[in-house]
Amino acid sequence: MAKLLLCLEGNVIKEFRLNRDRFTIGRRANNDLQIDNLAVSGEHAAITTVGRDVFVEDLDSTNGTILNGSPVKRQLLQDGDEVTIGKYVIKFWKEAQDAPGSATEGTDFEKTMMLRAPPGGGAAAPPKPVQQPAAPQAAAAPQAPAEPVKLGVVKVLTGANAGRELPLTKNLTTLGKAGVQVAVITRRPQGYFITHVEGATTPRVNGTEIGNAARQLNEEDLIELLGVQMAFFTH
Amino acid sequence: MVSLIQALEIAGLTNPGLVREHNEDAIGFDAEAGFVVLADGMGGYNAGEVASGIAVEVISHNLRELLGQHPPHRPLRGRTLPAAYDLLAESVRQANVSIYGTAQSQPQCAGMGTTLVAGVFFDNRILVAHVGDSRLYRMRGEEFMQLTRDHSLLQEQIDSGLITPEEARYSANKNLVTRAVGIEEDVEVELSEFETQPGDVYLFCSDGLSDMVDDSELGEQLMALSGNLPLAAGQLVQQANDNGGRDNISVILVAIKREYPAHWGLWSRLAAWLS
Repeated sequence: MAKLLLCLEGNVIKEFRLNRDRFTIGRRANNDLQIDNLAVSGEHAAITTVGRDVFVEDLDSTNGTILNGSPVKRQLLQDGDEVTIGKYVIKFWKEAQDAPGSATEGTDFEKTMMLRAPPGGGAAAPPKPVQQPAAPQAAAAPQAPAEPVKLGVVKVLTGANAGRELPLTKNLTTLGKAGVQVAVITRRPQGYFITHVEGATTPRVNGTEIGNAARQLNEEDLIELLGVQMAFFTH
Repeated sequence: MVSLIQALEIAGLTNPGLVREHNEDAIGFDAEAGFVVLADGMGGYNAGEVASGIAVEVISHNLRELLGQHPPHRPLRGRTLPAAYDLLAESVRQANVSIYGTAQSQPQCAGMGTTLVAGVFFDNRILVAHVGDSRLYRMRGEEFMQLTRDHSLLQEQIDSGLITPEEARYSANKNLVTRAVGIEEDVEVELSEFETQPGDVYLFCSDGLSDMVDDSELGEQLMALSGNLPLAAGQLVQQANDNGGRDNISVILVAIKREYPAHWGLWSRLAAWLS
């Protein structure tokens, strides 16, 4: 369960657990968090929980709700976000770790689950963990390799484009001509690899045809494709 | 009449990824009959594998048999939509019955279910059935787009404007589906039909791919490698693993090599006269 820390001038005044789907903040007494201050509207803001996501929502307050320095209407909260209402700052923390001993938790991360519990699903069904250990911020989104490989470059040595350099900035760069001969250079956590895509012959690396398997490229490897010679370097 | 096997090239791969012990995905396809099935199972222990396995098995068996008996482009007796609609929906329902029944009778399988995306190719069209968050994308020329809309909490929130697609990338609700096969007595199947064109490439995938690799990168890689379908499938799986491989990854690619119009013959002329 996520929690909110109410702070004033850098001091934590109170801690709240988000144990309901809608947690309201305002000056009036009917709010879950009452802030008795004239800069705070009667119904100022709400913290809503949808599944595992938590949102902050401004309820058309007079002085606005500020998230990490910018006014917001409604936005997804991330671990460590700060919501400012009047002079008060509310810090948002997702639940840190589950109780020790839940070693299997990690393997259940992001497993596809039904939103609703199946009706009449026998008691034998293993309980589905609702809370997950907090993951690093980047984990939810596609992420880059931890240590980026050095930037690879292909330098054309012969033919009309001789002297041109092609930086391999994408995960996948194609070389050659569609329908005739195409090879692709992939950037992977382990380095750069060249693979044959189409065409009657496969590219040569240092004079040897690579066949259909991917071949890792090493510094100063000489690539030949469609009669053009290229060299592979890293910067 | 062009047979489907001359018109469709299919390549499929399923991979456990780097984190999971089991592969709970299952895939099946048949270029001759013209169908593709991909399922992403869920449930405790190995029940997810059982559910996705049943789904692919039942649907493949049904479609292979039924598509041989009924021309998919013609309506069944007393029906108005092409038979493919009824055959595909019925096959998914049978898979649902089979998974639900097994879950009820086998305690270790209680609560299991599976997401599903399945396609039937006929008459220069594809009819797609989906349940949950397994997806179908299409590459046509420079355009790469998602054709199915997930049955998930996140998609519902995006649709109702409660969360922006940009915020959705950071949502913790990616894995909560609102529909699945085998969870309840009946299943709601979404069917949609699209015209196909020679040169199109269709990507069926589980969320182990779409959660790990951006749509823009999926599109770019598919365009670069569409000349070599097995390599493209391998590259997509590899990219998902290079990005962390947090879930099972399944990919089926279908390239449309030429048109495959149905042979309407006497029936269509009769229908034309009667209309």
